[in-house]
Amino acid sequence: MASHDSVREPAAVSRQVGLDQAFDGGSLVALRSAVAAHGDRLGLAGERLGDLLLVAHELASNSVRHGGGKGRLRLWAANGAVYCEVEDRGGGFSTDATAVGYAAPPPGASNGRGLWLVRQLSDTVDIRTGVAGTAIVARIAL
Amino acid sequence: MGTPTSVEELGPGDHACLTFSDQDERLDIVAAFVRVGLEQGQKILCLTDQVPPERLSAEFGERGMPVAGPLRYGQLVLRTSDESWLAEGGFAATRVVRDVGEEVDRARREGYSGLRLAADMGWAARPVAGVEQLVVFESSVNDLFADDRLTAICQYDREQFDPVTLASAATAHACTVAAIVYYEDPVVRICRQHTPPGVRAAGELDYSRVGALSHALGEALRLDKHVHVNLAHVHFIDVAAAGAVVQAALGMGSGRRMTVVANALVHKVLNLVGAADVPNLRVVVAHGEP
Repeated sequence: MASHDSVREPAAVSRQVGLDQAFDGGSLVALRSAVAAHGDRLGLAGERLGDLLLVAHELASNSVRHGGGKGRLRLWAANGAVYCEVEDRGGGFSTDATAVGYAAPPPGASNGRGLWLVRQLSDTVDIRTGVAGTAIVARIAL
Repeated sequence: MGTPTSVEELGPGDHACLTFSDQDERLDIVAAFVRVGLEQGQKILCLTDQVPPERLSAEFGERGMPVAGPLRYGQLVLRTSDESWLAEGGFAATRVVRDVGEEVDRARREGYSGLRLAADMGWAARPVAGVEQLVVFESSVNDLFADDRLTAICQYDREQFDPVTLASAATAHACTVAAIVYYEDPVVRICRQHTPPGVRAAGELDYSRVGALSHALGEALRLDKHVHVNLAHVHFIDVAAAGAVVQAALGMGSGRRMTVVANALVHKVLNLVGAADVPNLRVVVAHGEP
């Protein structure tokens, strides 16, 4: 897993911007549909496009359920990968963000699965969290 | 016309109308109609339109209901529209009413307790000769149901027929058959599946529908020894909904099985929430799904 700052590519590198969309609990279906369309356009296909869709949904639904009920999702392509960033203004993680989602929860457990899935399907995951909110960037290689 | 009944509640003398928009749901209901007929020693005549007879018997087989035996000894007969409704090049209400009457008599002579007729009405959506007699037919055929030897489901595709024809067809039938729908909204539809018994969902399943999904799975767990969960038409599932499926399988105990049919994405999520670690849960990847 990458260290804390390695995921965000330097600002100077040109980005191919894909999507910048606000969401709440009532718009996750539309968000998924937009992520699928833009992920395809940014070069993901087949199983990797499905991975992006799952990662984007789990991050966004975490914001809806635990991060203040809404947030913003951005997708862009750079350095041979698609990046998915989800930001919210919730109260941040109550546990140590660097340790969350590494251990597989027991079969059928619904809590704690989301971030575990995000870590399983992404190449790197960068989490910044504090009392003002949470921003997570997942990198999915093309 | 009363409230819709479940296919398993249909009995001798019932002339039912099934309007559908999902071919898979229609075939599930027709399969259940045929299965009950086979169990009750009735003769079954399936008139099929868009689905050729070979494909129809394969569909029954894929639903865990092999029909080679009943086809061979004649308890089950499959016929195309050209061999039945349009046998003389066009549709004539009086001829078909007479034909159905003869089939009822023949079933009785062959020793069956009655005749079950499953009629795919797709032919009537085409501009065939005599089709204007359809509504006359649906009402005049009703006399044949009077002595409880005939049970029928006439199937109308909502996409193919105009609302006026659908409405007049529906009023000509004494009852309507419908899938048991546990939950439906624009995103997902969760129904009872009759053959094999269990739950069928189509659309997208996420945490916001977990309650409805768990309710449907819970009912299947109470009703069926082995539970079949058909997710072949679910295009997206999240960890919360996949967790609910695995949780239901975990609650079944030994000696019972859950089989899930799913596309590649759903299969992957089920495995990520531990499906592979549950001994009595089997996940089958649906054919033809991405």
